[in-house]
Amino acid sequence: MSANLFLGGFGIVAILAAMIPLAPGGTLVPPDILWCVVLAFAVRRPGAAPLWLIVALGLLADVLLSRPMGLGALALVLAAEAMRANARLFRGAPFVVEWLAAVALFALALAGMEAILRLALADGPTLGSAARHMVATAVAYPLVVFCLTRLPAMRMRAEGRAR
Amino acid sequence: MASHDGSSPDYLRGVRRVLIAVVAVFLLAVFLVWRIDNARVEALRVSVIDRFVPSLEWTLKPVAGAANMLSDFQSYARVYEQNAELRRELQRMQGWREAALQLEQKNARLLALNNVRLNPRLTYVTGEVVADAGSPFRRSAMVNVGRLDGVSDGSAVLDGMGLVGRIAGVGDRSARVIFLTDASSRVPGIARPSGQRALVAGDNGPAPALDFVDQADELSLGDRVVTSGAGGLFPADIPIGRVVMAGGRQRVQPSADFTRLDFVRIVREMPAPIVEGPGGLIGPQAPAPPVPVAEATP
Repeated sequence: MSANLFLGGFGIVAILAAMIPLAPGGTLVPPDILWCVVLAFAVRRPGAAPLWLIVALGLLADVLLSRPMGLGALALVLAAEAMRANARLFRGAPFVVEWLAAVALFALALAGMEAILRLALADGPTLGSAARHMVATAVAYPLVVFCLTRLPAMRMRAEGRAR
Repeated sequence: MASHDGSSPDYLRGVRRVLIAVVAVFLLAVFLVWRIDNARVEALRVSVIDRFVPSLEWTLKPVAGAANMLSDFQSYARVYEQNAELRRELQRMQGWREAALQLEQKNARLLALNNVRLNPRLTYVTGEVVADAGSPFRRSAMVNVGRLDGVSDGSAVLDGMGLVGRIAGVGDRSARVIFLTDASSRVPGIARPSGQRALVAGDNGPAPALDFVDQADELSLGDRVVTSGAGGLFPADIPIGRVVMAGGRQRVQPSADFTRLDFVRIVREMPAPIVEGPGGLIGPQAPAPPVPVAEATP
């Protein structure tokens, strides 16, 4: 249960970090840090990333970040499950593989959201801002993983590799 | 739990897959409800945000402040160049100040000549931007004033220089500002020297496009665009921006400084009295229908 608190806490911090008004209205697009945190947890500590918690965090992010309701959570859940299913593979491989997979999934998620929004006759982000969002997230992923693995609670990674 | 991952038996994996499918269908249903019944779900969103955001002010603002201090600190490095630059700017500004003073006097004279009475019902409430939208889906921000301060849905939001956007979603202590540049923003405007009416339509880009221009060739680059007040949504004559050419079409470069949006003014408009039929005070009485008159005379 305390393990769930970790992802919950980090997830909420990640959502709030995106809301810091650094340059509201500017062209700066913040990275999706929640995406990085959840995917990093799904690979490193799948047990501490239960489905209900990912759904809850995704929905909270949708509400607070004025994203289309439910769509961001759906993408997050599917991506986290895809990462979790291949967690063993990523643990054996170098980090770059995991990084590329996370970024590719993010690109796929953005494209899928755009397609669904088009189908529902709603408008999504412009290509430029979506691209900046993706680049920012790609840059943020290693940083988030680095910060998370420094924490004592994430030392499970070594154990997971040994198992 | 952790011991199951990767090594779970086949039947558990199947159960999990079904569970994920159920969750996915649920989330898609949430999306469809949002899309179909947008207003009510958005109201729900606002109430959740209203619960969250006033308490966030204490956490988000200091972080943003610290980050700004850091970037200001970096700019100390070129303090000398800045100083020279500021001097030059000051000289230019003195010229402008002279021009502004003359214009102010002229304006006062003209107003006096016309005996213009400006709308006294317009008042402002100033709020601080406390949270960013945080995703590329909407160009919006949260401000720390809400219904209790007299903000209502659809009010115009200004910074010092021009129109920023409109209020969409009001909580008790917070409100959401949809910027001019958002794809759902449409503001009726009028270009100043030429008097061409147009719709300033945001598309999530930095400069909103000009749609439905009467005669596009009469617009020239640099024309001022102000709100026309058509539709009664915004008061008239709020500066929106200047006409620029970008991406092969006419766009408006907003006057509002979107890069440094800190404090915004929100127009509080008392509802104008609606005039229905002739008033009782002015002019002759409207001819009453004959039957009630016959009843009233005996």
